[in-house]
Amino acid sequence: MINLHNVTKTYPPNTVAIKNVSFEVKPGEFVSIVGQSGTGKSTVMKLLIAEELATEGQVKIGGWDITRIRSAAVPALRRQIGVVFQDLKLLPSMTAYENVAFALQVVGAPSQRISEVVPQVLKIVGLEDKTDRYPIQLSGGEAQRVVIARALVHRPKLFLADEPTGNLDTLNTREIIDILTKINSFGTTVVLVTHNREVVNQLRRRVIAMDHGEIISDQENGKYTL
Amino acid sequence: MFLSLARVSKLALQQFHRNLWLSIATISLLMLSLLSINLIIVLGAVGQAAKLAVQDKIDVSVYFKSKVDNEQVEEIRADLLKLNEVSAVEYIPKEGSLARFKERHKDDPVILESLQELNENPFGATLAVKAKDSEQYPRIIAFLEDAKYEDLIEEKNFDDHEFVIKKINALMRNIRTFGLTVASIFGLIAILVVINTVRVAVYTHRGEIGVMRLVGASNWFIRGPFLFEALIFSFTATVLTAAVVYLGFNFAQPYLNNLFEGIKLSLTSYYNSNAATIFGLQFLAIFFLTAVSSFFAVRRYLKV
Repeated sequence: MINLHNVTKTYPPNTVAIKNVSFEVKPGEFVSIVGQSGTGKSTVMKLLIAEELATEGQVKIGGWDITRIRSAAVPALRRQIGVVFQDLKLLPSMTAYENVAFALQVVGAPSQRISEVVPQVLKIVGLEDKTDRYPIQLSGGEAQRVVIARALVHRPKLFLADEPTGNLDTLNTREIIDILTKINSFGTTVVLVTHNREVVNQLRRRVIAMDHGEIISDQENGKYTL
Repeated sequence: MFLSLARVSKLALQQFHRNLWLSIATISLLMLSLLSINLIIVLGAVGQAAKLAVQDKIDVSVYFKSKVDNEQVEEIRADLLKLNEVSAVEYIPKEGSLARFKERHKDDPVILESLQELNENPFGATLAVKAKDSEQYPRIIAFLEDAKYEDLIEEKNFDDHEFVIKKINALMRNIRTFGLTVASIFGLIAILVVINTVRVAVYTHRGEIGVMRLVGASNWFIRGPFLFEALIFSFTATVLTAAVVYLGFNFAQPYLNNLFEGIKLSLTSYYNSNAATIFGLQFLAIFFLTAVSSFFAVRRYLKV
């Protein structure tokens, strides 16, 4: 599903964010990328959604070489990837339902499909009774669940979550991780970027640890060992 | 395609509505710019009408000496007609000049008696020369001042009109310069204001743009609402400007009629016959400006 081969990303003038990073993620895997702040985890995420392009090396998603992807092809890539960030990027003027529906509207999905899919994904994240609430009327965990629902509307094969529990308490963190596990159980590949030790240790899935822009360990059923 | 267009239009209308005051301010500023351009067009039309009216009354009358026979005058007339600057030359033969003189002084028996005592026609033929443009009269005069005509021409009465023509030409030049200066200043202000207004409008929607990019909306879908909004701004501003302009004409026409007594100048008719060109071009120019501004303003947010 994901294949990074000797990828280096340098920001001008000469800040190296990641250096010779190589790893592969198989379809259906749940992988956590861990590390302290500034170790290049988010840069890897940006490369996977083509927000940034690699300076060297090769990035492939589902066999598609996106190392030098054209700007016009980026929307097609992103429709196949569900993305969740710590800063929710919810639209405050829209309800939970509208925020999720918006993701389908802007890619030209028919209205009938929108009215079918949106309640489904809101149910998956357990917000079926709060569809008409505005983001300000939702708790941090609920708002994050709306973001997850929005990321699910395209039924992505790959789900990327960059610090999705960064602003949440323990209870809400647990709920979000449960939802990610549930998404993974449907067959979706999940990549979780986090520096939350407890989350990683409880998951007991594959863990890739990064430090100073390089991969320092890659373990099946790994733990947060930094 | 139709669905996307409908959604783009809906988003544009939402944007317009949510930033109503910003939208109103944008349209008002666009209107001010368009009104200044229309003011310049009106001044140009009024100036042109005044110039044509005066021009119509102007000619150079060339009075020939009585010894010059009609054939010679006909030759000079033919020469004049060959000039590019000349639009018409009216030929009044000797007899015609006498008849005109008599008609003009029919109420003055002394003059008429004196004329009878002469026993011959003291008048020469006359040529009334009209130029294509008032600025061309000096060249026609120069042509007539050639040495070969010196012995034939008794008098040329252009001097009286020369002052009026110079005045009108100077006034027209001033109006043109003033108009262009005002139009340039307003145009520049309009461009800056429109660019900034669109940038503010885009800035307020950077959240939506970010989400659209994240979930895979195409660049044209993201740009669509802003282009549609530019279309709404331009169309509304042009229609309102047209309404204000026509209302202004109704108000100004009686004053213009008084000012240009005897000259037929209907601004409404002038605009009616050129409305498609005048407002069409203004709409296209404003739309182009707002669309280009939004294109560049959105571009910086397309990288998420």
